[in-house]
Amino acid sequence: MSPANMRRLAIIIAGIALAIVVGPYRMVGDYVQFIVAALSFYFIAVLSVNMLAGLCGIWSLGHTAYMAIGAYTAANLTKMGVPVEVIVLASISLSFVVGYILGLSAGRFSVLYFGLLTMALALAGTEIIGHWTAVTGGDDGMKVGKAITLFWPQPIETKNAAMICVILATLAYLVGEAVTNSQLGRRWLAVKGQRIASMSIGLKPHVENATAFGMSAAIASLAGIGMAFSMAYIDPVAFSLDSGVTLIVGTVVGGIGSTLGAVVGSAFITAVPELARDAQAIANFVYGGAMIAVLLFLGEGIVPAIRHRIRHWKGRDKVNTNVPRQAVDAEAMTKLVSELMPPARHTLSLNAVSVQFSGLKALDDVTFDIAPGTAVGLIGPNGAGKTSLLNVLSGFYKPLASTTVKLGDADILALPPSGRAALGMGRTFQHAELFPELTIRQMLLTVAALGRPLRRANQIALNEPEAVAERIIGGLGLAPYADYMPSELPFGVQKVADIGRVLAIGASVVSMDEPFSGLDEHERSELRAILRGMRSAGVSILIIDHAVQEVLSLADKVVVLDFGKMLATGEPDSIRRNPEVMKAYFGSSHHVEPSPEISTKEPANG
Amino acid sequence: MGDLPAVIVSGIVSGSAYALLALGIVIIFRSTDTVNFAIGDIGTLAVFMTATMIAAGLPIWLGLIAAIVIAGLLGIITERTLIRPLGHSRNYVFIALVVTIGLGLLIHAGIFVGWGTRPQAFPVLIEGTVKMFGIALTWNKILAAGIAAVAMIAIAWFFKKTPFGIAMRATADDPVAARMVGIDSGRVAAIAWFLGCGIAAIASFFLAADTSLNPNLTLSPLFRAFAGVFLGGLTSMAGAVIGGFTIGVLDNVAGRYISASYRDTMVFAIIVLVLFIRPAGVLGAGRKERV
Amino acid sequence: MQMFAHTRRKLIVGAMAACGALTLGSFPSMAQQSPGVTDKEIKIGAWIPLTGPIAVVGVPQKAGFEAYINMINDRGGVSGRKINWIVEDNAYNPQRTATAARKLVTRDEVLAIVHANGTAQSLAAFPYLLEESKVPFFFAYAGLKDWWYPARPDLYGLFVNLENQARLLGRWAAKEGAKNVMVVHSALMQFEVVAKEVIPGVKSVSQSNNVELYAAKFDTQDYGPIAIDIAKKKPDALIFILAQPDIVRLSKELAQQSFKVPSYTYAPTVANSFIELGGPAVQGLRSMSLTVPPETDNPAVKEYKDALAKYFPNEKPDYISLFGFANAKVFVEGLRRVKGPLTRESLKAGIESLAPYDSGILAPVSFARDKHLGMTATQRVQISGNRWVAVGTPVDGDKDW
Repeated sequence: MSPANMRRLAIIIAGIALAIVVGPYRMVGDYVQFIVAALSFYFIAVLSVNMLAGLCGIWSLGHTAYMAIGAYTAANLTKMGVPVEVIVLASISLSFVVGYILGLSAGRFSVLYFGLLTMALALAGTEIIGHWTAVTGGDDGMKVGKAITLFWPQPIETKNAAMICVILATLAYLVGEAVTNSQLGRRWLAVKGQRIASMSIGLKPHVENATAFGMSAAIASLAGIGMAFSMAYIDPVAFSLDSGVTLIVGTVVGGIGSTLGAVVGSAFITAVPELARDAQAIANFVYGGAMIAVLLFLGEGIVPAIRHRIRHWKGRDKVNTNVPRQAVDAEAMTKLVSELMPPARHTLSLNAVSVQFSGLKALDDVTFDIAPGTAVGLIGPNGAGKTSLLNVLSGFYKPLASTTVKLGDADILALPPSGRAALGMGRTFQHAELFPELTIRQMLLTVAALGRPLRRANQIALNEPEAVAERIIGGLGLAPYADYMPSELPFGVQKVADIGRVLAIGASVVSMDEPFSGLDEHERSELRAILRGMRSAGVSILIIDHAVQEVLSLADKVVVLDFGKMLATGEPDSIRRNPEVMKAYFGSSHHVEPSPEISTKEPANG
Repeated sequence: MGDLPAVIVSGIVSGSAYALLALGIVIIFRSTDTVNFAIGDIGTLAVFMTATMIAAGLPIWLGLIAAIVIAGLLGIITERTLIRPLGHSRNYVFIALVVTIGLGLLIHAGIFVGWGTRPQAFPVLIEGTVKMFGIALTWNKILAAGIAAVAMIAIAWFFKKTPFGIAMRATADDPVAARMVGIDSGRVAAIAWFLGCGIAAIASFFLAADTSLNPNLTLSPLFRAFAGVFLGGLTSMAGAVIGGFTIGVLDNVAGRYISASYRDTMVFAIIVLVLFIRPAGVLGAGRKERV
Repeated sequence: MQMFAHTRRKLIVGAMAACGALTLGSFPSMAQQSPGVTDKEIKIGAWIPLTGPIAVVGVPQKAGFEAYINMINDRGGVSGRKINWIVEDNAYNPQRTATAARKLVTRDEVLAIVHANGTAQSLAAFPYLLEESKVPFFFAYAGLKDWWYPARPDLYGLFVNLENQARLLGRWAAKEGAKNVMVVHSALMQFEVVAKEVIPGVKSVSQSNNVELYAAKFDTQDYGPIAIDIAKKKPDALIFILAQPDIVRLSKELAQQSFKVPSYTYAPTVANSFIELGGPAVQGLRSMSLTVPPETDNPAVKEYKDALAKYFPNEKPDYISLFGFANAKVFVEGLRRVKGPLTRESLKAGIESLAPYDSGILAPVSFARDKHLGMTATQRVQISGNRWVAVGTPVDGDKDW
């Protein structure tokens, strides 16, 4: 049994044990039952907010609305004699749908605006509860009957409802852990960290956000069910802004993106009012003070802060940069690429690409082809439109209507950015743009899993995500860095890892934005070997770079842009001798001779 | 419908408190990217302190000035001790918001300890009422609206005409450029927080005189102010003022002609609709939209 | 695996520590005879809004009751036992009340709930308190008709039920000549139920009288448009079934509109602090009091003033704290009459033996086996200058006085 499964089993056993202790056998007093119930439903609620903030960067001030859905569903269905099991299914479905719809628009707004929007919705929600008297009992609230369950002969007394709360909390814990440590959680982290790069590997950010919000809402509704049965009475105040703020307090204090953080946070918000019951003001003092202190001094919350400290003490946060480098082996690189990337089968043809920004033409009628398995270099001075062209290819700029871009027969422009990855189009980034909250290994795993259908369609034998990730880590010499976050790694390593990402998705047409910038000599020769490997594996490449020498020596064909227009196109040799290119590019008509200085300069944005 | 003018006038008068709070929120947001949820509580705390001074013999009009200054200083202290140390991390904007929520809880608890939760009678500057459009308005409300108008004009003048005000607007529009021409961002932030919290104190002062001084004085006005802010767009000062007045009128019209128990529902519905449909605000957009 | 064991252990240790800390509080430290009773102490509890809009009522209510308890404790308690009255802040919120009830019953193990506040709030605690736990509940500062008719086994009251008060107000307004009566009430169910009872009161004088119910959101801040609306409708009398702060705000707006008709409200409003907050706008407001005025010169009221001055020097003598004081007095008298060991049952019998009992503050109180509401008469009062003055003699709202 794997450690992860052991862990799950242990949580299940602990959950069942606790449920029995607080259950109907009177093993503990009413008050302990009550505290355990409160702890459990607060844990569920804090976890739902915590997950969303940690994995997606979406802060909801209005999750009490989903608790309300759970609570009122429970109250009303119980009146009709519906068992808890059905209530759980009904309210998670309802909350998922509502949350999914709201989550679809999360990407339209900044974190702040979306937070305010969720708050406004929750406030509007309490108003609805207040007026919809038939279903909610209005502002006065309503009684909740005893829970009926399929696994117990009698209805469950209010005080024994702690058992239900514990079981729901265990369920939520398992779901939370499973999501955090799975492909799903890693995808959400990818979207959270780098929206654009996540689209380049085929993710649809709005769908990922919506799924996450829906799941989080569904979990929050479980908290509402637990609350309804263990309180036996619900009213709108329980779902007001104050309660929403309490959940934020729990999330912030415990620490985001951590199930254990949710445990600490919920213990905090349950214990403070209990311990401060003789002085009403104290709870608010402690809440407010703790919130501010944690944000000012710990930043990320108690649990993650402790984790970092531990990591720091163990010296795990320092990367050993004195790794002896393996010699660059062009043959091995070729083998690596051919094992992972299928050969391109179609020509990528760009026809009359034009982009306009408020009247200014950034690209004007650019036309060229990239034949399967060839490398095209795109050069030009700053502001020539190179990056704009790449953004058109990736789908982030919308070109004028006259433009067509086709890969074989497929109309690229008709597809959203995420749809282009499925056709085998991949790209790398000037600044690597790795996902900041995924280690290199996690990133490669995530991308390799996304690349599965593409590799299967191309009959690539190596397809298991774990195997693909291992192969790339080994092949690119990333082993010493694989378990570090990008921010802990030197820039050159990040760039190599970015190339690893294109390998993992299994692209056959690759665009590279300034692949040589920021690399040292060893990394450059590695990159050269990879590029040669791609070419001999039949992958089509578009390289944009200021390192003109590198481009000229690698490309089969070179396109020169100047002020958005095509200045020249042809084989590297003819470009080298083209006087117009010399003039535009270097302000003189000298020949471009191999001179390493030019290519080592760190260029500004192209 | 014959009393529509009366209802509108009454709405404008109530709206002056919302407009002041909204303006305070926007001034602070423009300069430091912080949505200050504690703005109402800072104003209320200042008025509680002032009430103690008035009870000890301070003339009421001096009390108003004292409230403004105290709230302004509280604002500066807040910005220095709680907001600036956050630095500019990735989620700064949201974290700053959460910090102000925490501060609101602290101030609330502080008022509870210092003054209890029972409402206190609070004196008005001028007694009496005047007839207008067939309804009577208290001098207190008219004065509130008048002082609100003066404060808003003064602030408009400050930002349009004084070199420092212009510099502050420049900072909001382009912080990098502002730093390059040597504008001290710390001073800009301090002045913005002083002004923002100071005008919130004006709103709190007249709200207290209107009914009574209590810890929840600005709770429901603050939500109306936020509705106004969203109507106008988070970055537009003029938009916030107009938005605040608009909400005052809409709230009064809804209360008079639709239902006295559906007024909050309307306000929140407006907020949700505006946020969903035109997040940049309905009443014209500021230049720097950070939606 | 090691990592897992590590975090798991931390979790369990933490959970056990938390549970341990919380369980300690629930184990009685002394030999307990029946719930909440030891040789030295009697534990009773209540929930009262000490924060939020109704704290205006809650704070003096608590002060009055506690002043009497402190006084008795300083004199040596009842049969050598000191009374420990534990008050939970429910912020006038039903759900928090349900929670408070559970804490009082399970963590503190109180003998009974005494003088808790809020009608809907207490109703939220009923299923747990009266049905599941069978803990007696005495003298709520709340109450509806169906709490008393028929009598429930564990529920006893002194607070003249609100419907009774409402009917009385309606009859009073009509007897003073009003033909078109408007009842302004908070849009909460508990207010609405009461407001409707004004109608039979008004109609009991003449069937042709009109009553209009007008709902406003609880704790409305801006009553401007509502006042304009009311002024347009021109009723001959206004009856407020609203919380104190709402009445202050509405009265001020009405005064601004120069709209002045006879206005009436019910007992929870009667407080001197109300006159302070309302100022000239509430002059002439009629209401009813459950106690004699705090200015009354009799030994019972003097005892009250002395105790309040001693234990709560910041509280000025006022109706609400006087009512709290009287409730404590009646409860302690019932406690004194308990025969044999003190249990929930013997306490109920002690209370039922009060028939009649004159506290010197309330109208004479009388309970019986099947009569659990000890008082039905109220004194009409009216604001004149800076105080409430009595109007006529005590009346019973259930009858056509």
